[in-house]
Amino acid sequence: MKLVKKLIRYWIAIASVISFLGGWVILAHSPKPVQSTPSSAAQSVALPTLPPIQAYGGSVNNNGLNFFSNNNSQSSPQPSSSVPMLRTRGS
Amino acid sequence: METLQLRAMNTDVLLAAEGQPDRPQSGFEQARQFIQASESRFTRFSEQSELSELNRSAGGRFKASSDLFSLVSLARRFFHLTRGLFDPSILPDLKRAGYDRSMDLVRQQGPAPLLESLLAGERSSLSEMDLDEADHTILLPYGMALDLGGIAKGWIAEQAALILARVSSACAVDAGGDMFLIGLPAGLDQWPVELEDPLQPENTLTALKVNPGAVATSTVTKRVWKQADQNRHHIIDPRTHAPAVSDWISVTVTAPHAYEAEVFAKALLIAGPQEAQGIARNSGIQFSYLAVDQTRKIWGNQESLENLLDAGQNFGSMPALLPMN
Repeated sequence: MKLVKKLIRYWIAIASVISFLGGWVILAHSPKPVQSTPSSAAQSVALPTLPPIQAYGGSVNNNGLNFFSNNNSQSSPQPSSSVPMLRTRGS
Repeated sequence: METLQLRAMNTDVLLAAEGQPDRPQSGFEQARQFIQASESRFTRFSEQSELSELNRSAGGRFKASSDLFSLVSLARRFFHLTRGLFDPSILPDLKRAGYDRSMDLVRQQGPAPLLESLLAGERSSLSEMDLDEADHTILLPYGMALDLGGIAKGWIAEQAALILARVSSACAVDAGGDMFLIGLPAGLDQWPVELEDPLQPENTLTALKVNPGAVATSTVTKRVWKQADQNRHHIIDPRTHAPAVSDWISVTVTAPHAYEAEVFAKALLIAGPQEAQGIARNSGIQFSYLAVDQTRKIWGNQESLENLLDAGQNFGSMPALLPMN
């Protein structure tokens, strides 16, 4: 009886290890979502080209977007009224 | 203006309302309770939240509350309007990138380890999610999990502001820099809002003038961490299933609704300058946006620059904004 129990334990242990390794190999070689999902491919369809817009502030790039540069950001001045300082910053 | 500050949704929240002190205080209390109750329902960081229950139900139908059903319906609508760039089903990718707990805990305990080969696999698209309007049930495809993060935060801020508006004609709810503004403070024709420098948060990049409505900013410089020596952030590009690589480091959007501002700030940040204009024009939603690049140049279409930048309140060497033609 002890021998049977021992054999069953060994069998369970070996089967578990083999199953785990097999699963790992299958998952590691499975196709990536971008390669295989038709809906993902649909999402990357190029957007229609739009006519360029008017330049503004002296600078415009190839994408038709205007920009200005502010490389000297400074500490915020205090508000003069009782309106609290609202500050958008991302989170 | 009366104000109340609190901590919710893993960020600092500011409630502000004009009026006699008694009236805003009662509004603050109702708004505070609403924010905290809503957070507990829609957070992905609590196993007890309704959102977590929905995610656990993937593969079967889930009976949702009307608020959750509305939020998920909105999320699906914006998924289509942004051509998939806004996608709340990137939660598995976000976890894989290491953001599997609240940012406070990720910073304290470190991110989840890199398990790319184990967890990257074929996934369903959000368009396969089924919503039944009649009985408010949601069927997530097996393996799908949603993160309503920004869109829920925007919705909560807007609803809380509407609660404040019952007692005040001019009020604001600012949730970590994403805000909803109602009415105008006495003596002002627009709300003054500062745009934080994404590279030096202690500084202000420029001043904005904002009409009542919503403001939201998405940035890749805030929720950042290292995973196996790789820099990570929380803006996932659904096309690559990895943290987005963009020419822009932050995008600020003003829109009629807070959830719209949240969605398009994120989508345009992922899209970058090549696609942003197309998405903005084809969305059918009226919004303005400003984007900041690594050199602190501020980008936007003409309407956005005219509408948002407060040239009279400039900081440092910001040039005067004069049309060339």
